[in-house]
Amino acid sequence: MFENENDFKNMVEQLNIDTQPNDNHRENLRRQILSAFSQSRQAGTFWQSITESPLIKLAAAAVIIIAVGLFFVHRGSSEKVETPKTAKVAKSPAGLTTVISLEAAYRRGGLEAVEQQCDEAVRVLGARLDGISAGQLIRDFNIEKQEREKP
Amino acid sequence: MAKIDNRTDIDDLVLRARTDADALGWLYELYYERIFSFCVHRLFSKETAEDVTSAVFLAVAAKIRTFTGRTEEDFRNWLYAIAAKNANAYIRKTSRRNELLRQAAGSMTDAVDCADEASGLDWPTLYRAISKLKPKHQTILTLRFFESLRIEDIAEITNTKDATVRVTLHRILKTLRDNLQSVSD
Repeated sequence: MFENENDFKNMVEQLNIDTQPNDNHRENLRRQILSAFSQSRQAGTFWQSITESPLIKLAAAAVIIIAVGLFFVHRGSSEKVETPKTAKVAKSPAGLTTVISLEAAYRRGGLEAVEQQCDEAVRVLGARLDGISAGQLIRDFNIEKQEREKP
Repeated sequence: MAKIDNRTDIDDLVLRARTDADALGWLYELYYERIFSFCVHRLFSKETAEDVTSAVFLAVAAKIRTFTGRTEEDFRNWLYAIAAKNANAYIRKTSRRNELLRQAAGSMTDAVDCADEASGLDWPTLYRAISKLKPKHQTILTLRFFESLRIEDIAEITNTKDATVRVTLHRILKTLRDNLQSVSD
């Protein structure tokens, strides 16, 4: 039995293990690896041209940076368009109804229509408290309307 | 073929082999026997060693373009790392390991020619004792005592520190002594 590393190394050297390769295997494998190498070279040509050329690397990096920049710019602008302005203004059902109604008026006839609608509201309903509900406004409006339509 | 034995020439071959089939062919000729020998020592059977050697060099042919080493030493260590991985992958299957051990046991009867006269130890017996070690320990032992690699190279191949390899080798030999005792009994 061995005592230390040197003993073991000497013992291994005395074993005369047969590691003589087979010439046919060696030749066949040589052909196979050269064939595999040429196949991998064809497959790798496109990607290699990108990764090995500094100029193409730079161009690819620039394209990626521009694409990312455009994405964020576009995303930012679309977010601005889609943000509903009424959401920040309307906080109660009454307010929401009023804002919707004013927006509808604006779409029909612009600022002039909005002013006309405001004048009409003040004329018909008179001054109202800030906290009045939409239901109360509609009821008041209907009463006023019925009274005006009476002969 | 002209003889290539200058270290600088081999470094040049390593650099050229990424794009040049002839350079890869030269490296193959330089390292075929060493890798085959490593596989025989790890797998006992020459037929199995041929299969694994084939897998190693085919992997090299497929990956050589992405190899980042620049010297012969880098290439040799990379090659041994692939060989060790393939050998371990082969014997990971219990059925294959049992088959290798069966072959080793069958060879014990006619192993007198390759026995060390002083110790009486023969290769099949030693292989059976080595087979009881962890796969990584088998790799370290084979690289150190059968392939005569330096501790630094073994550390790089097995992706560990030099000091760890030294300590591990010490423990491996101790375990191997016990394994040999049990195999002999």
